[in-house]
Amino acid sequence: MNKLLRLEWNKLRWPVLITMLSLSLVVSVLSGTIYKSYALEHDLEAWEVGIPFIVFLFPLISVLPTGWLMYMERKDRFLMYTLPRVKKSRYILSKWMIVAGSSFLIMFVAMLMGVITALYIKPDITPIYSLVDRSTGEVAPSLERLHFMGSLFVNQPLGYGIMLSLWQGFLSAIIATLAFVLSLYVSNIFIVLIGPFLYAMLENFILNLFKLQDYKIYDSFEPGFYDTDKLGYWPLLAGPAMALLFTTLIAIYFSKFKKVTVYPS
Amino acid sequence: MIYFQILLDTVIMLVLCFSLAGQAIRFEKNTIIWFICFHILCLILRYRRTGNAVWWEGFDANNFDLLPVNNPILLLVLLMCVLMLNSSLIYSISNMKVIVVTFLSFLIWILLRTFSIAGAGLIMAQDSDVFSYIHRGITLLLALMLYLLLITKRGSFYLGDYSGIFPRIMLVQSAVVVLCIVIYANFETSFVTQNLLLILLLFTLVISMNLWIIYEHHKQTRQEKRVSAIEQYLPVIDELVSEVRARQHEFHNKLLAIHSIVETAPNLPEARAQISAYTDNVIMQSEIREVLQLDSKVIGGFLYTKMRIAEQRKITLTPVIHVSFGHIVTEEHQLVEILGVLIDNAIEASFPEDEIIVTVQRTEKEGLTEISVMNPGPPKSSTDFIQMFNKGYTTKNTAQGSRGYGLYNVKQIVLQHKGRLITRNTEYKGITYLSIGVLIP
Repeated sequence: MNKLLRLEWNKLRWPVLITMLSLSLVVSVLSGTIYKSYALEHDLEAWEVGIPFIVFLFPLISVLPTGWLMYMERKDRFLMYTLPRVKKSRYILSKWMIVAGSSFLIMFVAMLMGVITALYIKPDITPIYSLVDRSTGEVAPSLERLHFMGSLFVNQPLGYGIMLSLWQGFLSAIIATLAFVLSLYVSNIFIVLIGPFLYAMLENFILNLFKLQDYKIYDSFEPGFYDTDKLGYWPLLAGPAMALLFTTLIAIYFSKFKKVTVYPS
Repeated sequence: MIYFQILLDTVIMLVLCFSLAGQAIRFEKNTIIWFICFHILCLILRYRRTGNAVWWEGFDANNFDLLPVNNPILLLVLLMCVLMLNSSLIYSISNMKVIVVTFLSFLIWILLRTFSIAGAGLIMAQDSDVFSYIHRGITLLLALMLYLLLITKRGSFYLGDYSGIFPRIMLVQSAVVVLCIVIYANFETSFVTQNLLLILLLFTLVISMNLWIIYEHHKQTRQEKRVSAIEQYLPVIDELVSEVRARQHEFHNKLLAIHSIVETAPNLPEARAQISAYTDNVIMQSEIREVLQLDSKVIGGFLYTKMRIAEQRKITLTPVIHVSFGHIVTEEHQLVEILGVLIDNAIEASFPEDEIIVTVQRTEKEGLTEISVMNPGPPKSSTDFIQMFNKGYTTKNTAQGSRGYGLYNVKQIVLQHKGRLITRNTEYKGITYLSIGVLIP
């Protein structure tokens, strides 16, 4: 298995490394510049105001560097070459591990670089408080009360940043899994690479339409001011759970109903 | 009513995408699905959840004149969706062509829409209720003219396959730049009317530049094909000529020997027998003589190559050519393509000891040239013959990749030259033959 994993990593390493480095650079630059036109209470907020565009594009970023691999191997019939050498399930499993793992790595490293830039590289911000305390009439910090995991965000920003980056990496891996499953059955590169992004868009639109916006995968990716007191933590799991459910349904539909085979038959 | 605007936008995009992909719009499943998907997409992208009692009042009305969306995020979503629709529903276009066609559709959309807005602005006030419908109507008219030019008049031939890195990069770049201008203008129509002269100049420049790039590339591709045909087949015929020349000396000796046989033979039957035995391996095959007499060395070389391939499979390929190729308007490399497809198909459908007959002759009535290839085979119905020229139709194994484009390409060349396809069941030496050919100027 180790050899297989190494082999798959060798196929993906350059696109993954290039995306990881360039995304890290973009996130760092955004986290270190955009905050200047905002009134912020905490340094880590610089990271939050810098990444909305990356958040919007995360289903594309998760998929583009990795999603093409299985498609190409099915297209050029490389899979047939592997057939006498390795068990189908082992080969697909190793490929999925590398695809999902790479996607995780790209997002985790890039986001963590943004956190580090916001906390340690850019100049410290001068906090501007906007919440007025009704009893004293003076402005007071609001983040600890209003922000998602406010206490951790304010008191241990690095811990919060690492935790959220890990979570974002995990969500990227889920989206990459969706693309991977699509690439197992679909022979259209555009559907493989763009499908997950359109899924996220459609999910966003439908949940907004039914006023269920708290369950969106985008909200789960960047909870920001998500109110845990009112909603609890579990709605944050709804987006990824729906994506996994959709992935499973896709796999069942193609394998059981459409009878599409992964290996050329 | 805003819905009518969305409907017009859908029709315009459908016409543009299919025209630029070189695909005729037919009332068939793929086209209908494309239309419905794009239409629903436009409705979704324009829908805003409001407190209105009736749902159709929830459609956004502002800044949708330049594109069916009014912000960069939705533009990205629209672009991605059109990429997916084009790749899945426009039949058999390559991935790279999907990208170029999609970007080019957006580019042409904006250019036509800008000219339409400018034109409509000349005849009515921009704040008029019908302004949005009038400029959309003009855009549709222009898009239909483009369709007429590219599909009905077969102008898409000049667009080629958007092959070549340079034209592709330039086309996609132009589209990106124009889309960026629209984003910079915040999708506002007023930007066009306020900077009318500048915008018209800029966009005219973009159109001219793209047309020039496409034309130049097409010219270059044709030149390359011509040179490639010459490079490939000229040495073959030269080799054949050298071989015949080398044997000329031998022929002189043989003539002397024949003269001696006639002089020394006791009687005529004896002389005939001796001469026949002596010249058995001297007489040049009539097929090779036919090839050597052709006035086009490229086609001669090409036919000779095919004769050798057929010979390896123990099939006889007999050329019967009664025409000068110098008078044929169709380009030499296209003649090679036509002959190549027809002969290859005939060879694949034939068995050892079969004879394939290639006929090239001039029709007296219309002044056209008929090229036909006959091979033994069971008779086919007219429907079968029509199907053979459809894109993707093949009776062969498709596992080795995409097949079924040969006769389709022949049909495209024939249509381009306003020629005709000829298919018939015929009989030769008591055997049923299939004859497939073309009539070209």
